[in-house]
Amino acid sequence: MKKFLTLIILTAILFSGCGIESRQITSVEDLKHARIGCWPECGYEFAARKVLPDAQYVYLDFVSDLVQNLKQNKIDAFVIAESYVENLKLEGVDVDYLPENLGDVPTSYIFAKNEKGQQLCAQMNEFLKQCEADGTLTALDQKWIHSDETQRTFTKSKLSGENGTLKVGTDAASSPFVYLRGTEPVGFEVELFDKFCATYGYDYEIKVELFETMLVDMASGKLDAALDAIEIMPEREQSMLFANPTYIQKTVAVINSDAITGKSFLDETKDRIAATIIIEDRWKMFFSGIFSTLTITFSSMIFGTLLGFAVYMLYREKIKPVNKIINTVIQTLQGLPTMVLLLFFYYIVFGSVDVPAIFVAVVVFSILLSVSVFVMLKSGAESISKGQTEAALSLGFSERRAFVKFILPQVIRIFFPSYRLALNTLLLETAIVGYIAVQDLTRIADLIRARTYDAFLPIIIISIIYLLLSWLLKKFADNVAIHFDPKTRRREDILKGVKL
Amino acid sequence: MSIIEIRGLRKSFGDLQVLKGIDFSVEEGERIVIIGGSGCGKSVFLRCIELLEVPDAGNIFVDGQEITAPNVNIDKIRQSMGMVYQRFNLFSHMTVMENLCIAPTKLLKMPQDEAEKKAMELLSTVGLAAKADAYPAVLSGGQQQRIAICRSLMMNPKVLLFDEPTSALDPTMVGEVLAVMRMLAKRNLTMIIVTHEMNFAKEVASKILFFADGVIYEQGTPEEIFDNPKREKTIAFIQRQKFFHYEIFERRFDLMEMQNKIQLFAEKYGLKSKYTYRLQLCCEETIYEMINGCYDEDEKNISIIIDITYAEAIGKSEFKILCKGKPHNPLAESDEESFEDNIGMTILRNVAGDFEYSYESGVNVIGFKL
Repeated sequence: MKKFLTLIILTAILFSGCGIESRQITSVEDLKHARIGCWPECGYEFAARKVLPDAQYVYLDFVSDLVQNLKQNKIDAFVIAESYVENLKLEGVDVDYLPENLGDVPTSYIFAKNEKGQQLCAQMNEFLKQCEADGTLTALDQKWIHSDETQRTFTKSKLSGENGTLKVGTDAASSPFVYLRGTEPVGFEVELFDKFCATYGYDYEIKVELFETMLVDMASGKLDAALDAIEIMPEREQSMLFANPTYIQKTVAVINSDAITGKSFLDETKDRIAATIIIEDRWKMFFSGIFSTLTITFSSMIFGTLLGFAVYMLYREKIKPVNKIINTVIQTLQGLPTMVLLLFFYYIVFGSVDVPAIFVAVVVFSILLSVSVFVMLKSGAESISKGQTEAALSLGFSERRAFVKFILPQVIRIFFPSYRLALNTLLLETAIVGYIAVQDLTRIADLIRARTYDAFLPIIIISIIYLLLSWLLKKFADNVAIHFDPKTRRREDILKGVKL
Repeated sequence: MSIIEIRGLRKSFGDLQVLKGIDFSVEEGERIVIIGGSGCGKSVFLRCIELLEVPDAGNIFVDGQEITAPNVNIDKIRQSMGMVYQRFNLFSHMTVMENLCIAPTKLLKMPQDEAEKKAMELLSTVGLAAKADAYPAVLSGGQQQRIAICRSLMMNPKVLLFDEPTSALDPTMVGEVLAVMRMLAKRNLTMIIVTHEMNFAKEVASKILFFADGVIYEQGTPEEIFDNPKREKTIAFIQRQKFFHYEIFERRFDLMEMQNKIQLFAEKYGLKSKYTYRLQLCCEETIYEMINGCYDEDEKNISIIIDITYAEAIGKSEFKILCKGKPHNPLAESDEESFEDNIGMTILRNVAGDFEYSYESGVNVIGFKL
């Protein structure tokens, strides 16, 4: 209960932080030495730096983060495409922007730098030329960039896929070009790509992942194309294959709006809750996140425990070279950050194999848990007197049976508290799997944040969910632990044949 | 046929040779007690029979079957040999009843009721029937060891090995465990016991093995070993001999220092003060007698060595004094000297006995017992 109370207090403090007065900015001149937010190494920063070279640039990954930082006056402005800001205003985000265009930035698709990618790129360029000629681009512009959500209808075309299925990546955080409606990616670039596929006889699958992950997946050939309204920049062109521009963005500086919304705090809060949970059935996303997190946790719990146990049993065979290998591997695994291990498995071990990312996550967390289980078994068995093993041997039990019947039950009792802790750590550590394109609970919060521009509610909701899950896990483990404690058995179960 | 036969058993730990070739056989119904100083290899010997230590060389036959042969089913052979450990080694997560029943039910396929019935009978004979559902942690050391013995007996072993079964016990609990072992001895169970309880060994053993230097140094019946040990180390061990050594190189030697050393030696082994005083007296009188008798007034080259061997078991000391110089028998009858001059020797003759004297290559050798 205390935990929840702390959370509520924390929330209140965060909310109250929104109201700090900012200094007035009326022109680009005022931004000369200002703190300016932007995406890391993006085209808009590049454009802004030409006009405002002396400003201090602050890197933030999501539009929602930029908005949040601006509102809390951590930055004075942020630079982004005009179309994005228009969309923000349409969605009711309380910001304004300076009318000056800081520079034109073309955006487009990128394709894999291989034969297939070259071919697709050529087809796309041909298709874009055609769209420009027949007015398709103008129509899409009108629909996605100059209309509100109600008019932006999109359903995926029925695609024959006669020329194969394209694997396409996106971070789905570039509204209105690519964004999630519920769990469905939609937007200007999605519809354009859909039409492209229909024309050229492809089908496509969209994978939602982090921007950086997407770029690595492109390089390793896991993806054929990326649609994310990616800014065409000279240095990017060296490593990426861009199609011709689909849109020419205007770079603008976004500042806090003077407008007073006129809504009461209560109404505003209501709106925020609705945006985070109810609109577009976002609660379903939370549930799918919980499902992913639990799938990884429980699969890893089962496989990791079995693996750790199996490795320990192998270790007990006392085959010198094998044990040397086991010791080295364990030491290596203990010396690597979980994040690094996850990336290592995703990009290197399974780099050229097409397996679901969630499978890679389960593999990594199983291995990590198995290391803990191995270490616990080893130190636990060492702490039980060697004498009991010898006593069992001299009664005529084999080495293995002596371990399973007499030592293991005692070891389990000793190591159970640390095992429970390891499971809890496992549950919490799964929060990093977003980096390899698994949409777990934490990643879901990111995605929702990217749509609602509200960081607090999703984070608080997942905090509560994590607390709840870890509490449930503890209860579950406690219940199991009782079975391992001989002192809790009933007397009748111990003495079956004898009546005293 | 012997129930256990051992040929040329050797075992080393690194550079340390613990067993250096042991040949021995045990007949059915024999009760072998192994004694010896600490580190003499007696426990290792027992553990080799159980194959808890793998011998470096040699063969061990149990009931005609070689257990040191490759591919032998050692688990099966161990079922017919019980072992009782110094530290009891009860399974701490199981009740007394489970400790007793698990091996016969799992390994001999004995039905649970039958096993429990047998366990209750055994527990009754050792007086612990009321503790059947207790956990080992709540029992005293003596109780745990009695249960450990019962656990071994549940498998109907042909041989029972005891590895210092009372060494980890409080002195007040030694008796209860020895009582159980005496009871087993009466039943003609074949037993090999490593112990420091000499009185118990004397009482139950049919044969005593004395281990020293990694071999069976001396063996025989309890009478032979305890009352008439033949070899030097056996005697030293049985009589629990302690040694005192002192050397003198000048006429004006530090008498007080020597007396103090004798005092400390006596205190260490709990000698009575009257006996200590006599030890000091014997030394002092003999030394002055020899200094006066063996050397001229101005002789500088003095050398007297005193060795006292105290046998703790019988409470007697043996003196051996080596004195380099002119031949002089301090106890020889002499008319020249007056009674007063020789008062020291008179005292010596009164308290000590078994005098011996010899003179060889310039050294007086005097021996007597106190």
